[in-house]
Amino acid sequence: MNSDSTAASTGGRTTATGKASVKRLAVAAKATAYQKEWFAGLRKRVEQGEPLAIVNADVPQEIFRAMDIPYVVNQWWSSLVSAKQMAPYYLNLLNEQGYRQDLCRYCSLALASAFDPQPENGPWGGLPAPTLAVTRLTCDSQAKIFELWARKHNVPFYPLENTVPTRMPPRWWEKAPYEWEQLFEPHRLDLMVEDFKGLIRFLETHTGKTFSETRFREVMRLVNEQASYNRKTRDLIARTRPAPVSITDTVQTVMVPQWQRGTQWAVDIARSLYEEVSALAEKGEAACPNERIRLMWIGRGLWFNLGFYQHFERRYGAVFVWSIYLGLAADAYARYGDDPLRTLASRFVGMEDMLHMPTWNSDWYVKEAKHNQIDGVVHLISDSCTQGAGGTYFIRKALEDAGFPVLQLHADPVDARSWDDSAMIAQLEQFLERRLGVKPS
Amino acid sequence: MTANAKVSALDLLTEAWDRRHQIALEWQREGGRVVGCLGEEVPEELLIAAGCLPVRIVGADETGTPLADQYLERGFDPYVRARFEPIVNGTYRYVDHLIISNSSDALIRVYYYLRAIRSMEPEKPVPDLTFYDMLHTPSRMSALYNRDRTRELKKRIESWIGREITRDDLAQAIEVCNEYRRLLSRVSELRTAREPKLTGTQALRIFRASQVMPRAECGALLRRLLAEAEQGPPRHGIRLFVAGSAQDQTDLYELAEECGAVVVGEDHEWGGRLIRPLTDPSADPIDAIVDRYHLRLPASTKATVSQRVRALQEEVSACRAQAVLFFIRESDDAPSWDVPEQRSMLDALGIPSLLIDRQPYRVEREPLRERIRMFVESVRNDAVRGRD
Repeated sequence: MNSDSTAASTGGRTTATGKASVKRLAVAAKATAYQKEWFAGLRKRVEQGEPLAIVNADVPQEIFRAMDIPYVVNQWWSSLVSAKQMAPYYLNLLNEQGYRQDLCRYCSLALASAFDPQPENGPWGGLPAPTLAVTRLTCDSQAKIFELWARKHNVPFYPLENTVPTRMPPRWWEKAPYEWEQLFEPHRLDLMVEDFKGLIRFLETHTGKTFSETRFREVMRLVNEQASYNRKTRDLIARTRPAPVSITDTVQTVMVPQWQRGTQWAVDIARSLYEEVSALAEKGEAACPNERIRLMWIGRGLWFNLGFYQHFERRYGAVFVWSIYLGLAADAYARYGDDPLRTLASRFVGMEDMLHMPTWNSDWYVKEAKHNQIDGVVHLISDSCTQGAGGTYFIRKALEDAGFPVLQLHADPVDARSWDDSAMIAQLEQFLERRLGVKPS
Repeated sequence: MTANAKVSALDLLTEAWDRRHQIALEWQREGGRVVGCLGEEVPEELLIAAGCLPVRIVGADETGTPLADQYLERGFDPYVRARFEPIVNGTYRYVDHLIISNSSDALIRVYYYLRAIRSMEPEKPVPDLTFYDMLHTPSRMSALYNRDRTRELKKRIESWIGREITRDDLAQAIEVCNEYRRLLSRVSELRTAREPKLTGTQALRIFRASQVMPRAECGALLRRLLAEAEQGPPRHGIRLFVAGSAQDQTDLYELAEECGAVVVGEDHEWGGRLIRPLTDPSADPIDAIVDRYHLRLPASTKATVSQRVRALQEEVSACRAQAVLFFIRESDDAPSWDVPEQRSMLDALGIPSLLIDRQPYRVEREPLRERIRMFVESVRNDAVRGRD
């Protein structure tokens, strides 16, 4: 993602609806700069004949990393397009092809960009044509989107299966790193391992590259190291009042290296983030020195309007200190085990359950709200995505039963066409004033 | 139900649908178990082999969906809401167990939410839940996974009834299922004949009744119905294929046929998908059951766009449809993804189509009547011009 929303010369492709956030961390700027540099390098590699995989966020990128296959994550590209204020242009292209405007946009925005007759005018020179498409069948739209995409570019497509848990051991976050065999049903892990083997063979066949077990083990080690820093950062923010940073600082700085996970660079950024936040905390510096309210943002980031969050810091001393991005990075990624492929399966088999399945998600949100000294919760619900909603009734009930007031906002995280900034601000201000009892500073 | 010789078999099947809850309660009074089935992949063969009555969960007729609206997000389509409502409002309180199959993302979430209700609000009348995690990708990996899940489901059902389901039980159940499906297939032939002897509305009434009554009893009525229908008058109208969202109510078919069409086929779960394929009686029963549900053409929720384009082309051709009506409910995303390419394919074949989307669960007839009438009329005019 990128919060630079300036409308560059993109031929009328931008619709400036949102505001960029103000970057406060040196590491945030460094991460964003690197991402742009990395993408330029990726484009160059693809121009020189290297493969390019387009993958969904819940596809095991560690495999691609171990095989040195360049890849772009569907949702990352969507967030970049959205931050560049180009989502309306691309989504209109998709609609012109006959696709309904209210179909899931978060996962189809990148496909929409494939219909651009001048793809080179896209963000950062545009997304090169992929040579492979891989998704996981975690919702009914995935097979549609990725098959359409693959056919658009006449490239092979691999769908990974998705299984459903029938057992729900409590407090998943405690068992996930080491006791994951107790957490996830063995048949689900078995199937995912088989599926991963099929994916590796598919990639070997279609790219000519070889899977390196040695490199894979190193990738897995690096991911755990990165997760350990994310955990320390989350815990540090959680215990520090006023918070040294807010989610406008952390979302990008966590997610850019998340898409680069399994590299030393990603570990270094995670470490730098921790060190910079630590330094701020030691100096008593805060994202909002006048912090009066700590807020939790549940749901996807508002990619086209990351500046939205900072309005409430200025006006109310209300700071969004928590998002799923650092929360999951802290609790959901670390996995330790002897068999790296099965260990990788344990990272992905439950990702969907942790995030979108009540009561696993609701229990975790309550735990995180307590841990992060949260005063109120704002839940962004995307009406076009059933999967992403994840039991909003149960989440709200669990949080409110635990004493955390909840505001549910209905909006699409990438489609600025339906965003009403003043109405959304008004809803949140009303929540702050009436439910949390805070007045403008 | 008494098979009154003076009442037509079609009327008795229609009545069975209307009396579906009483039929299930009567089954229970006679000592049988009733198992609710949500999703089109619940293997009824296993339930019938266990002596249970499988009943498909049907949308709430007229009560609205206040509880579903409370629990389900706006992204759930109205058909899912309509079936969620009677589960949480107690209409299906009587079912001994509820099995949900992995037939769509929405149904997976319905399982999660019902499970959460049972956990967080145990006073709500949600039945005992089982999830049947049948995968749909056409691979050996999925086929083996499905066999294991099916054996697990068999064991679970055995725990309910307190005895083993034997190979003979399964063989008999497979035969019962195959027999009513063969009879439904003949019903379908009457409807797709060059001169249809049944309307689409009648066919839908027959198909859906088969899912809420004892299958052997249904078979007996179907045999009578076939004899009666073959003597009936031919039905005239534009041969219309209905694609898109599932129809467990007859409103849409009635409206289309009032507008001059005969619905000769559909691609949703309450039509031809019930019939094909049969369960192979010569194979190992678990293999045969899995293959039936796994290897058949996937529904839109589990298919790629290309698969659905090919499927529609084959189905439209098989029933010699003159036109296609795409009827898609609000938030029913899977068929919406299929529509643009399906319509392109139909255009290339010279088959006209009409898209009606963002619809509620129950069809609002009057706002649609003129559109459908004009569409049918234009197809008729084109057909006449073509003959000239």
